[in-house]
Amino acid sequence: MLFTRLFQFFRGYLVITVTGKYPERFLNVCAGRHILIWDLFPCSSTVLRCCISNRGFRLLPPVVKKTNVQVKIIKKCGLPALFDRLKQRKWFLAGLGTFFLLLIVLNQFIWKIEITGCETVSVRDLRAALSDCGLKVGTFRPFLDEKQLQNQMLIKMPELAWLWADKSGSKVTVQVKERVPKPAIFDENDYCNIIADKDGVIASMIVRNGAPMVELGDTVRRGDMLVSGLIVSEKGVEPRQIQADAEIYARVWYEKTKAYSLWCPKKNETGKVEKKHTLHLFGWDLNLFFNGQASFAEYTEEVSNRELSFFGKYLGLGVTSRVYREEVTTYEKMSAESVAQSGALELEAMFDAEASDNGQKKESKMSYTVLDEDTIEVTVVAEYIEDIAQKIRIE
Amino acid sequence: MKKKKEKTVAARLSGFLDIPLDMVADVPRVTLSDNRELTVENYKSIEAYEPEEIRLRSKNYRITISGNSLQIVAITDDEILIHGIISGVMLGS
Repeated sequence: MLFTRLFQFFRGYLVITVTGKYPERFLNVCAGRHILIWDLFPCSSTVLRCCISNRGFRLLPPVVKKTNVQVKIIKKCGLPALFDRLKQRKWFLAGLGTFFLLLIVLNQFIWKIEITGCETVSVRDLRAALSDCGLKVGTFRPFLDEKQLQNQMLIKMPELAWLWADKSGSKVTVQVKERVPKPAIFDENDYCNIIADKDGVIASMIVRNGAPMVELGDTVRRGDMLVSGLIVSEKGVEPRQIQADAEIYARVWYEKTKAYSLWCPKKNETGKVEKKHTLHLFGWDLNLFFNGQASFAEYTEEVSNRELSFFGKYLGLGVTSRVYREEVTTYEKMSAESVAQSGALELEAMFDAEASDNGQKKESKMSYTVLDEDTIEVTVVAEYIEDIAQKIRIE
Repeated sequence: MKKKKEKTVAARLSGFLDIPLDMVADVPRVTLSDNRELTVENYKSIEAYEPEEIRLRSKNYRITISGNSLQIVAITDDEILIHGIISGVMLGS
């Protein structure tokens, strides 16, 4: 029935009343002549209200004559009737047309530039470079050549490895990939020694070139010579310099101690919510509030963006909503064991950041001492196996 | 007499071939969904239409639908769809 109603809405239909002694007879004749009527409602024993298609209404006169009823149009419905009504409101139509015309014209400009993928390069610098290359808010969209922009940007910013600009309506999404800095590569003709990068105990050694200065199990301090690039011959030949090359793995220990309070903060929402909206109109940001800050002392912030788009194409209009939820912090006393566990995890994460990329954690030990009834001191000692070899050029 | 014989043959055929009776004979088919929607197929005409009662004429008997706020939502030459709060369906001559 939904599809019938939808179909009839597009084709146009009428709401009529049928008045007569036997309106049921009218229904029977209509059904027999395949005249579509629906949503019948008996207003009284002699009056019936129903919907009828425009085409069906044109077929009614013989039926009306035969059944001796009176038909009155109550309302014209559907798209054709809507257009008929709109034809009389010329200024409204003119306004509607102007709106769509303006929308089409303004949609020919870039109103929003989204940048993704920046890690070390600042977004501000990238925007400035894009502006120099011809992409800024207000740029005429058909004049924007993505391929040319890409080439110009890669020349202008050598720190970028790849850039892709994607036009979608009035929005351009710029994705960048930064260049990975090339590692320090020694010239084959350079001479170098290998020294220890960290304190530790030598666990394994693979010396490909050079004279080893330490043995397995030796304890080394940071800066100690591990492999020498100076080869001294015992047969009286003059010493010669080479480029030492080795992988030297050592057991390295990390130790950290930190005090933790047993009173852990817990945040609870009070239920108070404050919303602030910003309208984006063709590159202009219109704040619908006076004070940009939330009136709460503690709060969480949720930002959501809604953009008006037509078949996935951004039309230059959008709203950014910021929802602030008030929170209060309450403190809850935890057990020393659980605080020590969470503290140990935090300290271990710090060790992972300190250890070299190829380092492997062997074991970790945690201990804690109670300082007073509210504070404990957590100590974590972790052992890593990592490559401590560092090449140093011989001047 | 002829009518009675025809009905018997149709009923027998339906039973013998194990197919619905309304497919072989021109008999009405009444489908009630909950107490809100009723569909009548193979009806002949509407005899009366009021919000509390709708009377339909089929080939052999009259179908009386009683209830509240009864509304004929759609009507074609052989099918009628009724919405409302249906309290009873009665068959009679």
